[in-house]
This record gives sequence, C-alpha cells and structure tokens, in this order.
Amino acid sequence: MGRLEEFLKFLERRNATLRDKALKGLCLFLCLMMGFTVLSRAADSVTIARVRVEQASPQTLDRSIEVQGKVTAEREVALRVQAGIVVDSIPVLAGQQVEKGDLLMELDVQDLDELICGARLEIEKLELNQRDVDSQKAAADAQQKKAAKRAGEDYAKAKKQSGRTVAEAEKELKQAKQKLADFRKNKKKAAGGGGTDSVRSSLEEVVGEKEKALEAAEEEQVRLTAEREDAVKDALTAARQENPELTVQEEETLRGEVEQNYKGALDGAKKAVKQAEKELEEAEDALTDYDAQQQEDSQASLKEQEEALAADVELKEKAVKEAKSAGQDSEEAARRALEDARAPQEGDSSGTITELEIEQKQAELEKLEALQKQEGRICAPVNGVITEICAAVGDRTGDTAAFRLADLQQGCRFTATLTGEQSRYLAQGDPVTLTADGSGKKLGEYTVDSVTAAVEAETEDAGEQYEVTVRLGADGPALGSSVTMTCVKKTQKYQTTVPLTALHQDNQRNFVWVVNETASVLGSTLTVQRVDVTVAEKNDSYAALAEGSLTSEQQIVTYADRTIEAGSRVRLEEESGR
Amino acid sequence: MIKLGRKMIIVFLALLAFIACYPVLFLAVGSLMEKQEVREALGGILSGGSEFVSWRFVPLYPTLASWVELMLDSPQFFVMFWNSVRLTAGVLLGQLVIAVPAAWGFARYDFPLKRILFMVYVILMMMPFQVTMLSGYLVLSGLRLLDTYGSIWLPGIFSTFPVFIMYRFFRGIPGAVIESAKLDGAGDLQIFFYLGLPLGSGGIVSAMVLGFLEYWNLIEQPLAYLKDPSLWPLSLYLPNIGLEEAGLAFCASVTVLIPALFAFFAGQDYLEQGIVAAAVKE
Repeated sequence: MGRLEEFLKFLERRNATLRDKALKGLCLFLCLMMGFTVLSRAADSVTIARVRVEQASPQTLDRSIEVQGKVTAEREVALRVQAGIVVDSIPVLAGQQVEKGDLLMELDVQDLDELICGARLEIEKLELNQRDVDSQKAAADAQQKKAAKRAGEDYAKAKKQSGRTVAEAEKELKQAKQKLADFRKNKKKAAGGGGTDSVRSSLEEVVGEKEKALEAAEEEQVRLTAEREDAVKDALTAARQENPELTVQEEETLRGEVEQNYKGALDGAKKAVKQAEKELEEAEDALTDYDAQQQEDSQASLKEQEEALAADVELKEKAVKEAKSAGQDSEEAARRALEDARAPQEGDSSGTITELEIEQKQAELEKLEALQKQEGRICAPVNGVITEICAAVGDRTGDTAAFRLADLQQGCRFTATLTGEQSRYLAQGDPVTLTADGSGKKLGEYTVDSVTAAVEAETEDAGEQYEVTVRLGADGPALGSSVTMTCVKKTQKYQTTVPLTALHQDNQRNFVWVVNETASVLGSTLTVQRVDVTVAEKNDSYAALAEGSLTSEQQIVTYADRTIEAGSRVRLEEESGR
Repeated sequence: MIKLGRKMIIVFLALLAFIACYPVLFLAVGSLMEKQEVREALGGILSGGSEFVSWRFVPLYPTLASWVELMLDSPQFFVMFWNSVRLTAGVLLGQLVIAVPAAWGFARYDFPLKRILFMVYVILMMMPFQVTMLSGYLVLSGLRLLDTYGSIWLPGIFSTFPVFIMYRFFRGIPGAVIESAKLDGAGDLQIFFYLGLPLGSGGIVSAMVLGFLEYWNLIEQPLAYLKDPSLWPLSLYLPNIGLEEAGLAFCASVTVLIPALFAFFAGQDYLEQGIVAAAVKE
C-alpha cells in the first residue's frame, strides 16, 4: 500500500505539470475560438449585402408625358404680291402684330407704270399674232377640201374600170370551158368503136371455123365412145349366150379386149379435140390482140385535143385572176389617196396658246392696274402677327409670298414633338395641361387634337418622332411662346406592381430577387432567390407584372448595397440601422 | 544482442506509431496547401475518378489561405463548434450528476435485482446506437425533445458506459476504509463525498475523458435527432466534401482534433493511474 501511494504521488507530481498545461492550453484554445468567432461574425457582417425590400402591391400606373413645344398660329396667311415689282419700303418688322388694313409694304409706282406699259404692249403683239394664225388655218382647210374631192373622183373611176376588165376575162373563160365540155362529150362516141374492118372480119371467120372444128372433134369423140360401149355390150351378150356361167372376171377380160380395140380411135379423137380447142384459143387471142391495138391508137389523138382545150381554160382562168387583182390594186390605191386627202390635218395649238397668253397678260395687267390704283400700297389682309417677311427693300418681289401672317382670329395651337414611346400613350382627345415655361404658370386644361407622324426626324438618332397638336383657341397663350404640355394617364389596375429598381434583366428575361427565410447553421437567415417575371407594363418608377408572377407576401429586393446572387445571404437595411 | 533486439522492437513500434499518426500528419499538411495543389493531389478521387491520390509531406506552395477562410470567413464553423462544446459539456455535467452516484451505488451497496440490473447495464452498453435509435427517437418525440439539445443530453447523461467505468474504480476502494469511516460516524453521503469521490476520482476523470472523446465526435445522434442546422455540432460540418472544400475540411479537422488532444492530455495521468491501480493487487 505504501509503495502504491508513493508511486501514485510520483505519477501525480510528474503529470501535474502536463495536466496543468493541457488545461491551460484548452482554456486558451477556447478563448482563441471565442475571439475568432467574433472576428468571423464581423467579417461576415461586412460581406453580407444590405437590402431594402418591399412587397408587391396592386395599383394603377401613372404614365406621365411631359414635352416642351411652341404656340403657333392655327392658320397662317400668305400674302403674295405680283412678282417683279421693285419694293420701295417695308414699314413693318417680323413678329409685329398688325391689324387688318395696316400698311405692310410700298411698291415703286414708277416701276409699276413701266410694267403696265410693257404688259399692254405684249398683249397687242399677241393679238396680232393671233390674227395671222387664224388666216393661215383657214387657207389650209380650203386646200384640204379640194384635194379630198379629187381623190374621190379618181376612186370611182378606178372602180368602174376594174369591173369591166374582170367581166371580159370571165366571159372568155366561160367560152373555153364550154368548148372543153363539148369535146369531152363527143370523145366517147369516137372511142366507142363502130365501122367495118376487113382484118377483123377475117379473124372472126377463123374463130368461127375453129369453133366448128372443135364441135366436130367432140362429136366424133362422143360417137366413138358410144360405139365402144355398144361393142362391149354386144360382146358380153354374145359371150353370155355362149357361156351362161360367165364369171365376172371373164366379163372383165372380155370388156378389156373390146375397149382395147377402140382405144386407138378414142385417143385420136381426144387429140383432135385438144387440137381444135388449142386452135380456137389461138384464133380468139389473135382477135383480142387486134381489138386492143385499135383502141389504143384512137385514144391517143383524143387525149391531145383534150389537153389543148384544158390548157386554154387554165389560161383564161389565170387571166380572170389577173384582171381581178389589177382591179383591186387600182381601187386600193385610189381609196388610199382618198383617205389621205380626207385625213385631218396636224393639230396646231399655237392659236390657243396665244389666246391663253393674252388672257394671262391681261390678268397680270389687271393686277398691276389694281396695284396702281392702290398707289403701290400693300396692306394686311387680316389681324395677325407677321411671322416672316420674304421681300427686301430695293429688290423686286418674287414668285413666293412676300409676307406670312399668323391669323389671330383663327386662334392658336400648341405643337410639340413626341418620341415613339411617348406617342404610344397619347391619343386624340386625351386631356392635357399646359404650363408656361419660365413662369410656370398654368395656362389651362386642353385636349389633344391630333398625334401624327413627323415628316422628318430632327436627328438621325431620334428614331420615330410624332407631332402632337393641341388647339388653344383665340384666348390661348401668346404666339411663339414656349409651353410645356403634361399628360398623366392611368393604366388599368394591376394586382402586382413592383418598383422599377426591383426589376432586373438577364438575357432578355426579367426577374426580381425575393427574400426567403431559410434555416441554416447560423440560424434563421435571409437569402435571396431569383424569380423570373413577365412585365405587363411599366412607367418611370413602377412595373406591373403579369398575374401569378409574385404573391403579395413575398418580399422583393428593391435595393442592395452590393451585387447579390441566387442564394446570397442578405440583411434588411432596417436591421443594420439599429 | 539484447540491445539490438530492443532497438528493433523500438523501430517496429515507431513504425506502427507513424502509421497511426499518419492521418493526423495528412490533415496538418493538407491544411497548409493551396486549393490548386489540393485539387491536383486529390482530384483523382474527389472528382469522381478512380485514380490514386498523390501526396507530399511538404507542400510545394504552403499557404494559410484555408485557415484564414476557416477562421475569418466561416461563421457557420464557429456556430457548430460551440454547439459541440454545449453538447459535450452538458452530457459530461449530467453524467457527473447521474452516473457517479449510480456507479457508487452499484459498487458499494447490495440491493435486490442488483445483478440483473447491472447485467442490463452491460447489455445496453454493448448495444450499438443503430439498435436503440428508433426507440430512442420515439421516446424523444413523445417527450417533445426532438430538435433540441435535450435529445442528445438525455440519452448521454443516462449512458451506461461511464457507470461501468466508474464502477470498476469504486469497487477498487478498500472496504476497510469505508468501514473505518462508518465506525467514525460518517454517513453514506459523507462517505460518498469525502471518500468515494476523491478515491474514485481516477475513474471519474477517465469516464469524463472517454466521454468527452465520444461526445465531441458524435455524428449519428445529431444527424438523427437534430433537424435544425443551427443546432448541429462540428461533426456535421461539411458533410459533403468536394474538391473546392478539401482545404477547408483539413483545417476544420485539425481544429476539431485540438480540444480532444487537450482533454486527453489533461486526463492522461488518471487513465494511467487507473490501469496501474487495476494491475497492482492490494
């Protein structure tokens, strides 16, 4: 036991130092960890983003359009003066207001008189010219009538002559056709045979003789055949009388012997018949050949005659055609000559032009005389403001207006230029408020008269531009003053609207950051989550989102003091202010 | 010859000790590497590949960047660190209050069904957490302690392991000392406080040290019973370690190791005393 205690004390002494050091080390480690805990929290609070949040709210969007423009006259009057008159004096200035009848310009009277004399002279010249033109025209008309009459007479004559020529040719043709027809009629009779021919008669006799010879030979053959049969019959009778039991074979033998006796004569008769037939045939062939030869000779001479007559007919037909053709040609030529003679003459407007010039000159003269009566004084036609003077003292008046006046009696209008985006929200009839620039005084409530596309953009980068017009009436602000037009339009009520600062865009997709409370190691923390939304409409400060994009409970980040990403921890700015 | 054999034994033991200490060295070196070097070394494994890890004992480009990131830019780490401290301290304090008297009772008193009850204690001590996890979950749910520190403290406080450890130490106290105290008129409580606790302090501290090491590295119970991440202890820091968090994980691991080392060194002598005391017979 004592040794144990000593050993334990030894161990205790040895390990006391190590144990103390370990405990001290553990305490130091825990203190160090506490320090680092604070430091890491501090570092985390520096890196964590501070945000401001809002909830989506239902509201209507105000779309405010504010543009600056000018007040111009509703109607502008252009005062034209006869061109080419020297200006003596212009007692008014641009921008000056004048009453109706006020003197605007005085023209040089002397110059005016000279112009009037010149105008009268020109009118006289034109009138003389006109007379010459009229007389020339009358002479040309008479010449034309004469030519037409002569052409008509030539046409009638040509027609008559051609008709006669054709009739004669047709008559000759008819005669030739008749001759041919008669010849053909008589030709058949000539080729049909008739008349006596000695050669043919002898040939016919020969044929008759040969026929008789054939008949005789045939009769001889028949006689011999009958005789043989009789002889056979007699021989058989005699043999049967001698031997009544005569066999068939013996009868045949006897028949054969009798026929043998007549065989030579019969063969001779057959030969004679054949010879007679042959001779008859030859005689008939000779006769036939003779007839054919005779026919050929007669047909050749008829044919030549017929051909000659046919050729004659053909010639006559050709002559008729030629006569017709020649007649048509001559008629055609005469007809064309007649048409040419009757054709209207070329238009000559010089007379009309001269008349018009005379009228114009007379009108100018009247205007100059009117100015002369007024002693060259040009007065304002209406109450208004002179917007532009286009004439200068000492120069001649031009073709364009000498003065432009804004007619105050018709009232004024406000015009301004809108961008394409602004024009989408402004339409005819929308109420607007006009405010004078500078003083800021409200000029009144008006309505938009029109919104039209501008003719030309002011600059290349301006894009689409539109012009808005507001009628101000006669009691409107002063002409030429600068005025600001303001129009506030409310859209429909949207259930989900967020500040524009809450809306972000990424690859043409709109999204907002929504704060969510998530449980993490650090406890309940706020993190941001990206929610894609669809923007229905927006103005300068708010954006209306499509239904269902967000709920009213969701807190949307409207401001962050640093860049945030999906999943980033954030702190609400009101917490940081505590 | 004997000296040579002794030296070989020492060398062999040193080798074994190096192998045992190698993971700690691995952590310490890795905590000083920059991200690129860590990626190159561990990329074969952590990027889903099947290549071998390549490692250097001395980093090519040593840096404290991971330490700075852990200590100054990771407030979550410190929240979990103090959660671990709370959980461990709570359990150990509870064990001091509950397990010490329980062990004294088992060691110095006889009562009915003592053996059976102690047998139950031993059986419970041997059961892994997975066996009792479901029943424990149901009980804690019924007591509405889930997702609170109580779900870790309660089972820990009433753990049977420290009772078993301290029982052995209390049993080693000589009976004659107790008898003497009783003869001197000391009551049970006086005997417990003035004799039992001092003489059994070795066991108590041993149980505390072992308990500290157990509850400082607790994973399964917090994972099962704590859903709120703000209550998680350090053992659940970086549950999914990828290539980007490897450096941070090394630093966190070294930091977790330090208190355990201090606790061990603080209680090492009591552990040794306990072993020696058990070896020396009265």
